[in-house]
Amino acid sequence: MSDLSRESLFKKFYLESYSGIYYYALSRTGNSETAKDLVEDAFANIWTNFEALDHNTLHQYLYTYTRNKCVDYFRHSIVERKMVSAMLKMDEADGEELYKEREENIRRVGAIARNLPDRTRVVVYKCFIEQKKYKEVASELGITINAVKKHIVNALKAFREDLLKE
Amino acid sequence: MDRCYDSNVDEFDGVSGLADGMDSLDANDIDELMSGAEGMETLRDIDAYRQSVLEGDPSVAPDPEKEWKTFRRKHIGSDKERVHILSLVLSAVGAAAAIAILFFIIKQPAFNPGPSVNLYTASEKPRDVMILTEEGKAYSVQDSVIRNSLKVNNVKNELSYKGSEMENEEASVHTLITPEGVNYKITLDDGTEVWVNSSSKLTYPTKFSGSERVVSLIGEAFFVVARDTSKKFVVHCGGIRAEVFGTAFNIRNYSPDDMHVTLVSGKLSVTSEKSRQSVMLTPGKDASMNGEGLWNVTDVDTDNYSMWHNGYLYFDNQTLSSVMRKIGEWYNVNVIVTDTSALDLHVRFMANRRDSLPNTLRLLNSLEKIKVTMNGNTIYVRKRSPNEI
Repeated sequence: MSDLSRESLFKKFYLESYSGIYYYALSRTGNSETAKDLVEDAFANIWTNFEALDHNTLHQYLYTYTRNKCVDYFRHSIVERKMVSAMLKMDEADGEELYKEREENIRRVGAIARNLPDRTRVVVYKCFIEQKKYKEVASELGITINAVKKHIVNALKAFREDLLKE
Repeated sequence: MDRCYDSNVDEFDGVSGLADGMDSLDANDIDELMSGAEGMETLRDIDAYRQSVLEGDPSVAPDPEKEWKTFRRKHIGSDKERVHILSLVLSAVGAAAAIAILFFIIKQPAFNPGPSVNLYTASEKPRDVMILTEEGKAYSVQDSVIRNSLKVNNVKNELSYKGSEMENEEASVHTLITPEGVNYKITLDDGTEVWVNSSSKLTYPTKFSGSERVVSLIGEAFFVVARDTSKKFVVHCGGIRAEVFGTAFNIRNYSPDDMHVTLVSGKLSVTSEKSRQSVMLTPGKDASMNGEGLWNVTDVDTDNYSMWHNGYLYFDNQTLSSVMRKIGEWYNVNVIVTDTSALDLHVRFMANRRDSLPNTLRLLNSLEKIKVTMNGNTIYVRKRSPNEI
C-alpha cells in the first residue's frame, strides 16, 4: 500500500466515523475536550496499525478501543463504577454491523423522542439528560413519583415499539 | 452539555431501579422492558436518546474536517521521517557496535496513583544558538559576521576557533548560548571539541594563553579535550571545577540536584569550590554531590550521560522521571506525570534526537507499562492499566 493511498483510505475512514465516535465518547465521559482527546488517541492507534488491521471491522475496533479508553478514564472514580459496568455490558457483544448502525439508531430514537407527548418528553429529559432523581423531577413538575416512572416506561416502550414495527 | 458525571450513584440507579415498588404499573410492562435482552436494548435506547440530545447541542458539535487537519499535522505529516532502528557506531565512548532498540521495564512498584507532577515546562524563548562577544554583542551562529571570522564546517554546521582568523587577532572572550531543544558543537582554539547541550552557556577565550586553559559552563556539555600536558584544561561549572589534561568527559550541572561529572576516558579531577573537596575520577566514574555537599562517586554506564552528544536520546535503566524530563527539555514541551507512582519505573530506551516528537512518543508507548499522550504542547505520562490496548 503506497503512502498516499494509505493516507487517503484512512482519511475517508476518519471523516466518515469521526462524529459518531466523538459523540460516543462524549456521551460516556460528559466532557467534550476529553472526548476529543480519547478519540484522537483511538484514531492515532488505528493509523499506526492501519496496515495490520482488518478493514472490515475498523468501526468495531474503533469503538472497542475508545470504549476501553472511556472505561479507563473512569477507573479512578468510585462513583462511576456503575457507569463503567453499564458501559461494558452495553457495548460488549456489538459486532461491526451494530457499530455501523449506531448513528442510524440514534437518529431513530431521537425522532421518537421529539414526538413524545410534551410532559413525557420533559420527564425523560430531566431523568436521562439532567440526571435528576425521580423525587426531584416529581416535585419540580408537581406530579407523583409513580407518575414520573410511568412517563419513563412509556417513553422506553415507544423506543422499543417503533423498532418492532419495522 | 459539557458536564462531567458528578451525579450520585442513586440517580443512575433511577433507571435500573424502575422495576422496584411500582404498584401502579403493569408488571408485564416492567419485566418486558428491563429484563434480559430487552433490558439491554432498553439501555441502548436510553443511550441512543442521550446521544441524540448531545447531537442537537451546538456547543459540543465537532468539526471533522478541522479535526482531520490537526490530526494529520500531528500524526501523519508528509515530511516526517519514519522511525528507524539505527545501528550505532560509537567513537570516543568505546562501546559495542550495532545496537537494536530494546524496550522493557526493569522494575515496577505497586500501583498507587498520586497527584500529578509537572516534570518540565516548555519555554517560549528564541531557539537560535547565539555567540555573545566581550563587548556584549550577540550573534546567531548562522550570522555571516561569525561565520566570516571562524572556520565553518558547512556539512556538519559546526564552528571552529582553531585555524580561524581569530587566531590573528587579540584574544577575547566569547559565550556560546544554546536554547531549549538545541545542542551545538564547537571546536576551541586548542582543538578541544565541545558539544554544548540545550539550555546551556559556555564561556571561553577565543585564544588560549597562559599556563591553563580555562572555560566556564552553565548547563551541560561533553568535552573531548585536546591533549596538552603542559596546560591543564579547567572547566568551572556552577561551583565545581574539573581539571583535565586530555580526556573525554561530560559535565551536567543544570541544578543542584541534577549535577553530574562523568568521565569517559583519560583522567579528571573535580573540586567543589565551596567545600574545597576534590576527587579524582577514572574512566567509567561519575561524580555527583550528595545532600551534605560531599562528592559521591559511582560507577556508571557512561553512555547514559554522554550519548546525547552523538545525537541520541539514550537511557539505560534510568527512571522514567529523568527520561521524561530530558524529552521535555529536548523537544521543548511541557511534561506532566499524572500518576506519580510511574516516576520510579526504570526504563531502557533509545531514540534518535532528530526524530519527531510523535514518533518518539510512539516508541515510548510500545513500552508496555506506560502510556504517554500529547495534547497541544503538553505530554501526559501515566501507567498503562492492565487491560488497556
